[in-house]
Amino acid sequence: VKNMHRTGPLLEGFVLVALGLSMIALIISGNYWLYLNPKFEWVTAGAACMLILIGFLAALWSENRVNRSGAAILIAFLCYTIWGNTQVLQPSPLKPKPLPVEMPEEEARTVLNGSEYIRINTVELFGICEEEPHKTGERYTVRGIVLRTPQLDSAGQFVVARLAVFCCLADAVVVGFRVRDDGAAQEFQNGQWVQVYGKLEEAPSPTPLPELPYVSDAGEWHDQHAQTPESPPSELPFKGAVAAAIHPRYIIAPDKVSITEEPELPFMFEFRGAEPYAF
Amino acid sequence: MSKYLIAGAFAAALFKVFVPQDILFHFESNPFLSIGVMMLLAILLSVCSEADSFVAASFWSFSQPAQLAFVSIGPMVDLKLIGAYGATFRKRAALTLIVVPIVIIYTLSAVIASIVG
Repeated sequence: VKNMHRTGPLLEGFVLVALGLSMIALIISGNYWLYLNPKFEWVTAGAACMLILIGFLAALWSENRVNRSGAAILIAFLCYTIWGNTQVLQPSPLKPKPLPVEMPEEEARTVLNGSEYIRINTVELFGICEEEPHKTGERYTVRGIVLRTPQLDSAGQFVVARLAVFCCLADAVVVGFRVRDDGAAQEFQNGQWVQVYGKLEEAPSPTPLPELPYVSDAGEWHDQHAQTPESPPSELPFKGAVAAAIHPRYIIAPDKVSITEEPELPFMFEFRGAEPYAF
Repeated sequence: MSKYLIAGAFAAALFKVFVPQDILFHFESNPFLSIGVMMLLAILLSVCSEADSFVAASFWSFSQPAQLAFVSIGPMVDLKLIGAYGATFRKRAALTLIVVPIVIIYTLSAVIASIVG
């Protein structure tokens, strides 16, 4: 009977330890960046250690009284964590891969046809448009995936965008710019990675912003805007985005748009306010 | 408190996944209604305050006072915080922490909307 009375605290302790271990496993697996900004790894590791410690203490020392509803919610949360991990990874076009140990520091600027371009990501460029408009006259180069819709095609534009993960995937936002299409976009498919070199200019007004996919309908949107059947499109790595912010006032006038490889980390995790930008 | 936080996060996730956000655009033309709708969205979405300016920017067709209300209320009142307030404080204090910011932010945003037009 005494052993039976210990079942509750042991179960509670086990669940806390399992939660802590699942968090450690997430960090070690290399899939962490699919859920959270890697800058929070140490926070997760600290919380996991605390959970494991508390779990052991709860199992060994806690009284027989068990908070049943609390334990039930923790068990449900643990199951959901394990199930969610498999669900997020299965349909995702993203291939889980470990974070690079050290990202090489790249040059702040690059030269194309004798002109210097500032390497920058779309969030940082958004910040310049909003907070430092005196810098909008510079030449910039951004990377992102192509988004095309019939509406954009008819306006002679396409969108270059990337997913920004500020804290976690639950608040990830697609951030992008419209690019003036001088016929180049016809070569590109939705979801294709490109690097755009150009200058910002005031968007022609009134030009409606495109409707872009939200979290629940990204797949459907993609199906609707897929390219010709003989050229199967790559998938949009935007599943999970809460919103899509396309700058309403500025558009990129491109000097060149070239196809590029998907970056090692396709999401944007780092945002700087000055050169060298995170790109 | 963890169960309230988990329940709040779960409710926010359900809203985000299953409620089509494009229905919000039906309210964009009315400046006063749009403020309330954007505040409600901020509370339900429970978006991190680092990201909410970009989420607000995605609702580009809403008025600026409505976007301002969105980014103002989010860090103070959302589903997770409501759960945490309820678990931490007495009922009256928790209600005050929820209702006062909502009233103040709505009122100020409505005043700005009526001035700006």
